[in-house]
Amino acid sequence: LLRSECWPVDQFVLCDTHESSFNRYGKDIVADLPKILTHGEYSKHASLSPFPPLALKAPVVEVMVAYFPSGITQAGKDAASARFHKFQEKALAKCRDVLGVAVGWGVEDDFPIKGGKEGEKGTALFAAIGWESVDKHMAFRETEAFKENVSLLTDMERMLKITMVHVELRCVEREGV
Amino acid sequence: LTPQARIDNMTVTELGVMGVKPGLKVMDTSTEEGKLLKSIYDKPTAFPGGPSRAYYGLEMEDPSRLWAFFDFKSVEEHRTFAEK
Repeated sequence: LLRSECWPVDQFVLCDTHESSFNRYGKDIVADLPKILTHGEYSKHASLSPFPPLALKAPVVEVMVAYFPSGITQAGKDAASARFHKFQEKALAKCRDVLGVAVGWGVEDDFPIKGGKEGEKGTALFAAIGWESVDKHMAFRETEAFKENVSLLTDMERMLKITMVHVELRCVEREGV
Repeated sequence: LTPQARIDNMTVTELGVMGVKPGLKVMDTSTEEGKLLKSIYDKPTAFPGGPSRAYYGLEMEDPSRLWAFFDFKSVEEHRTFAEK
């Protein structure tokens, strides 16, 4: 559902087989996107928890992406997840302005690393944190709870890079869901 | 469950980032481009077997980047929809 060279780029679907079959629906849906969009940076998947990731419905969503080497082991992933959950417990949970949190690993292991070396790719840990406004998030960053615990995120073992941006999302929900 | 069945039953969120053409106000539905983007992202959730939710919007730090997320109840559902 995203503009990219082969939609949807998905390790579970062989591009050549659905190339012809998605034309009827998927391609029709996205056919007009090139009129307003320049390119697809990427289109991939993540297993976000809790599901559905309702933090995405907040007025402002902080999207944190921590990148790791593609070959990171399950134990390495578990250690990084544990540090995020500790940050969630010690800092985010103490802040009343947090409207929701969803976290999880990218399914693919070749996410382009934003701000990394040319063509550098890796495994990505995503976190979506819902806020009322950017100001509320910035105020949280001034608190002791944040300052004392942020190293749980910034000093993760084997982490290549960590990025954080804010997005304002519109949500379309299927009727009856 | 077989490993494949476990994968099929996983919930999954498709996510991606796209570039917006300079000067277009794609989130402003009073503009042509805004109407077009809305009409595109209103569609997937209306299809049987489509995602339960679509979320899309601009990055505040760099509004030339459009983020989109689609919730699928299972990888199997996603695959079936993609193959339609």
